[in-house]
Amino acid sequence: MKTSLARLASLTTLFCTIAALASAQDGQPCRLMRMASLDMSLGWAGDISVPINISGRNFLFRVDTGDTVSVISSGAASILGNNVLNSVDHLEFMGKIDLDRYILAKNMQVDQLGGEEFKFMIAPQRLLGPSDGLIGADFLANFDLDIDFAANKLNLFDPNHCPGKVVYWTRDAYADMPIELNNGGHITVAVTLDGKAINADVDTGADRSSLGYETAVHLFNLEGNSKLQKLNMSVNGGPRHTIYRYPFDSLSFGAISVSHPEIDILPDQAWGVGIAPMIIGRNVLRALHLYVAYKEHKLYATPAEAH
Amino acid sequence: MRKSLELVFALCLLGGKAEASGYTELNAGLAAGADARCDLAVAHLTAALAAPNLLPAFQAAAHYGLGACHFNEGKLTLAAADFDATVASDPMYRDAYISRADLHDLNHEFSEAAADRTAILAFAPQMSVVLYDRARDCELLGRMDDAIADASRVKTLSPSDPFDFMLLNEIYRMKGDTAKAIVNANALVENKNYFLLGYRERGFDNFGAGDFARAQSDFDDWKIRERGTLYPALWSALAAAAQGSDPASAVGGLPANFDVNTWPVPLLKFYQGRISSEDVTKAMVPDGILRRYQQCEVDFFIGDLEVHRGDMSGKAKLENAAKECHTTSTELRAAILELKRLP
Repeated sequence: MKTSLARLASLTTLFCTIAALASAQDGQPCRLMRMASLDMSLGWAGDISVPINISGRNFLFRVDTGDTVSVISSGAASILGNNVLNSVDHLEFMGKIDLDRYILAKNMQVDQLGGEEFKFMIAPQRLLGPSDGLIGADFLANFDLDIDFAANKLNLFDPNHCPGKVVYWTRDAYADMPIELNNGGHITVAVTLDGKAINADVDTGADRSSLGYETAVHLFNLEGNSKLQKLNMSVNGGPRHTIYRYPFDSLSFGAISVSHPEIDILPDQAWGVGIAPMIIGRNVLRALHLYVAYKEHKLYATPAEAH
Repeated sequence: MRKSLELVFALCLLGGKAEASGYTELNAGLAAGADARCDLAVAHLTAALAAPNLLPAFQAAAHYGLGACHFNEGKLTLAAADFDATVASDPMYRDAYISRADLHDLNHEFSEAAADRTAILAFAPQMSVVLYDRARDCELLGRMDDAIADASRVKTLSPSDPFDFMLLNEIYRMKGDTAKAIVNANALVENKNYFLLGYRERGFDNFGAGDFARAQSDFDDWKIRERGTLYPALWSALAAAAQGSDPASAVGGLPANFDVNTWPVPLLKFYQGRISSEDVTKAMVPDGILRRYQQCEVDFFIGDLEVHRGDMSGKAKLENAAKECHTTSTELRAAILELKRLP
């Protein structure tokens, strides 16, 4: 049976801290309560990873808002010595590998946050690059996720706050927009690309912004367009595909506008199941300071270096 | 102040202005690197490192980006210095150790490569892929017991990963224990997802052991099942030549959908007798790391064909392949085994 991603996500262990409990009791619900602040490690592809401690061992996990289920490398799972359990559900990972085993990680520590048991599906190390796993929406969506790319910090905030009171890092203008949480936690926003309305997933796990071929052909009528650049390259560390790159005129979401974005057009077989027709990847996101208020269903953003 | 309705952030993704901050330059460098535009990436990353406001946390990524570009351009001395600077900025930056080890491998400095991998394993012992590569370094250093110990540890860390069979297969092949090598290749042949690798590796085992008929049969099985690559035809043709047959008949016709300029088409044309070895050399890319990989294949496939045709001038090419081919290349190991058989 293929994964019911929502079902896997529902197994998430709830994390809590003394500080968070205090925030609920002190009668100041509008105050943002930072629950974790992590230094990020920046990879050459612009990918971001954070340190996580499990059972006293330090690991480095990539932060991937486009991944609904958190994943641990087989090596990390093995060295922890946890019981490996067989999952009833299978997760198709990176379009080619069925993940069907998992561990329940004990004594997980993310900065000051502690967790008793957290489910990680086990993936081959060779699919994870230099990281020990991926932190996905099943973990992140328990909090507000604040990615300060320019300061190299990832913060997790208590999601229980007054609506709209989150942009703490600047008094300057900011953008906000509603988000939908689809298919187990994908962050979907409404965007306009060259005048066409379309939904897009905000995906910190994607190197670049992209469209599925079907969408590109039908919505933008790009087939045979002379500006299409043909490339043969790996898609997010997976297999190589023939892809196309196209210089669109404009992309906007909320009050954010990107001029002349180059968007990759991926073959439909490389396009994941259940995701929006477009992905906004790190080549756009790294120019922003992002605050994802999962519970409030809002995305807030400023230029990355706003302060 | 909330002004989202009126506000437009004009994001300039490639930056590049004189007053751009260190972060903007870094971002522009990362974006250019991701697009394989290394000239642009080097310019932005150099500017990022020169910017007074670049966070210390970003220095390692900027140095590493420079190294990755220099490596891809074949500027290995520069790349080595960049990777050294990365490690100096952040002693836990895994990619820098991994790339520096790859660079050592490229220079056949296997002890130094193994040392870099040992350095990562000291703080990230769970990284089975690093252990995997250290096993290969040990194998090429002739330290077969260490190689087998690492490979066994890899198997513990990544149980049921079919690539573990490939590692053990390769180590036993190089140790000269063909029977154990083939046991591991057969395990791949029987795997529903990795049987192609099984035929390929078993072909290498038989070729390395001098059983060219069995090798050709395995390569043909590989060729029939994997139509997306031309290498099975090349190996099959070489195995045919090693048995005294005409390699052209083993190559067969090139698939119609292949671009005639695609590598390794020039080598196949050479095996068909349609172009000279000089033409093959002319068809190589002019520079960069890719040229080194292509040179390795030229030395091996042309050198070994010459040797099997009785032209011992091919031996020098095989010696060059054994000196220059990358650690991960099958041609390196095949050249070493072929040279062992030659007087």
